[in-house]
Parts: sequence; structure tokens; C-alpha cells
Amino acid sequence: MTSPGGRLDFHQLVDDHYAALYRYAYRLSGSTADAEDLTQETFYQAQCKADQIRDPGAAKAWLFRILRNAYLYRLRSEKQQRLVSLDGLGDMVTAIEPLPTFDSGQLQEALNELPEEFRTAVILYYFEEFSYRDIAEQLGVPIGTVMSRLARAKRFLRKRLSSATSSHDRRTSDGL
Amino acid sequence: MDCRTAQFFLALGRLREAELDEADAQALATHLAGCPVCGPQAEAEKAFDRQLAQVMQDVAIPKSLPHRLHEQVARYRRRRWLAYAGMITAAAALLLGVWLGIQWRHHYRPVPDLDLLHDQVLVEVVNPRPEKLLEWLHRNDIDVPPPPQFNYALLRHYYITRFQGKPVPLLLFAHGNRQARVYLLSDQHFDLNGLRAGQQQGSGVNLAVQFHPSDHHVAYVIVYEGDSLADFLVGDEPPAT
Repeated sequence: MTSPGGRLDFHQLVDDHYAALYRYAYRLSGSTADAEDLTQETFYQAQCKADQIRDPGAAKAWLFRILRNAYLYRLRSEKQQRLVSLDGLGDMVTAIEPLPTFDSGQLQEALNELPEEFRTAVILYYFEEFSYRDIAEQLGVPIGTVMSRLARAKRFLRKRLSSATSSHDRRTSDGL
Repeated sequence: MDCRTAQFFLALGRLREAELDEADAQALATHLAGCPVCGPQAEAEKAFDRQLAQVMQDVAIPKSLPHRLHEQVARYRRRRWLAYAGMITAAAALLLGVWLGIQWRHHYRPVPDLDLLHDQVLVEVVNPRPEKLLEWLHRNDIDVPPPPQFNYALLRHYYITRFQGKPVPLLLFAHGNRQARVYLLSDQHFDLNGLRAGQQQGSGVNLAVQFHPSDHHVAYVIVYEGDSLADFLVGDEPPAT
């Protein structure tokens, strides 16, 4: 990960993390073009700030944090979010629900509707297997908040993806 | 563990034993194994989690992306290198300039400017006794022999003046109401190759340039009044060297 001089080897960093960062960026933004831009911007900013990181083992979390900050910066500039409220969703699982079937596009549509702080938490948790503690550090919130957000985001996704499945089933049965 | 607590843990998403303490993890496992409600629910949650994680990663990555990222990294490095090289070059040029300036200042030997000398004003008068001249030159670390062809009986003053920024011994001779000023120039301070022996006539004040007969590292620039320098040169021996 580091060059003989002790500096980060960015070519190695690219090889190690570009795929995960691109997927993360795509799931955050829902756009392939934005995902590419964010991934490139992440490595550019990382090179500019290379002196900030001493421990190469922390590079992954550092890169993810840079990417999220870049995404948030864009989000603030665009201000065109269409988000749902999760207030009506409880944290608790109440009954066994049938397992929905959904594809990557349907999942992305559902993710796009989540507020960013919920979306980021759930992506990191399911996608890169960040621990609660890692996610809390990424988001700058307590672990309890992360747990609550994850539970509510998961409830939302399950509900949203189940309804997508049933509406797809209805359309299929209606001949649509 | 009761169902309510188990439901709470299930709600937290995919369970990771590492993030539950050992007692909670064991109690939850025991409860899930025996509870007809929570057990199947936990299995359903795990199945959903697995599906979510699997679909979450189902993102096609553009094939050209890693190549473009590597190019970007290399481009950034080149720019940084060029910036560093530019700074180093500028610093080196600055240091070289300073060094050259110091060298030039140290080694610069101006061609004697006779007009400047002509206009210069006497600044100091010291002991006019001819026999003290050599002693005075030594005391002032001046390794320039006085002109041997002059009549030292006519010596009236000698002192150090500055000519073109350099310290120069000046001997003042007087004959009647006429004066001759002799500037002792060394090639340590002046480029004497730019001088030619001879005389220049002026309006009442004349200039003459002479070299030491045996030491061509020394020249004498003489500013004198009257038509001829001969009256100042006659006969007498200079102080013993």
C-alpha cells in the first residue's frame, strides 16, 4: 500500500478500492455518470490530501469518507432530492413478511428515496460490511443512532421493495 | 431472553456476533432456536439481509474506469513533479544569481574613471613628512610602492581617499603654487589593462598615467597643474623601500 519512501501508493489504492468506491458512489447517487465523477474526484482529493493519512490500513475508510463528503457537497449544490419520511416506520420487526424479489434497479429506486444519512448507513452496512462503529465514524454520529437508522432504513426498504414486487406482480397478472 | 428483546436485536439488521456481547449473543441464539415465532422470523430476516447485500453489490463497473483512474493518478503525479521541479529550478536560479552577484561583487575591478578622479575632493590630510610615507603605507596595509620618479622633497600631504568605491592612497606634491596629486592604483582593486600610459591636457589641470618601472601591477594617475610634470619629477630619491 505504501511506496518504499513510506508514501501511499495511489496506483495500488486504485486497484484495491476503485470497485468498492464506484459501487458505493453509484448506490449513493443512483447515476453511473455521477458515480464515475465521484470516484475520480475521490482519488484526486485523496492525492491532494495524501499527507493527512499516516496509517495505510485506514485508507479504505478514509477514501469512503472523502467520497461521501464529495457526494454531500454535490447534494447541497443540487438540492433536488425527492425523499420519503421514515417517521411512520417503527424500528421493530412485527411479523414474518414474505421475502420480496427485486433487482438492482428496483433497489436503487428505493435507495434514492431514502434520506442521505439513512442511505449511507444502509449501503455501508450491507455493501461493504462496515461495522456499526465504522459507520458511526463515517457519519459522525453515535453507534445507537446508526443502529436506529439501519433498522428504520431496512424496514423502509423491505416495505418499498415488497410493494414494488406486488405491483410488478399485479402488472404481470393484469397483462401489463 | 424474551421475544421482545429478541425482536429488538432482530430489528438491528444483520446480526454480527462480534457486535453483541457474548452473553447476549448466546441468549439470543438459544431463544431463536426454541421460539416458534422469533426463530422463523430471524431466518426470514437473514434471508432478506443476504438478498439485500447481494443485490446491493450488483453494480456493473465501467471497464475503462480503472484505466482512467490510473491515468488520473499518473497525471496528478506529473503535475506535482513539474511543480516541484519548477520550484527547485526557481530556487536554484535564485541561489545561482545570488552566488554570481557575490562573485561579481568580489572580483569586479572597474576601469579607472579619470573624470571622477578629476572631480574628487580631498578628504583627509595626514602626516606630510616624506620619511613617514612607507611606514604609513604599511600601517594601512597598502602594498603599493610610491612612484620612484617623483621629487619627495615636494611631498606635502598623503592620505587615503576613495576612488570609484575603492580605497586609494593619494600623494600631494606642491611646487610653488602648483600641485600634483598622485593616485596609487593597484591591480588588486582596478583593471589596469584598461589604462594607457600618457598624458591628457585639460583646462588648467592635466592628467598623466604612468606605470611603475618594474611593477606593472601598479599604476599612477597624476593630476597636476601647469604645462609640465617635469618640475615634480626632478632629481630626488624616493624614500628607501
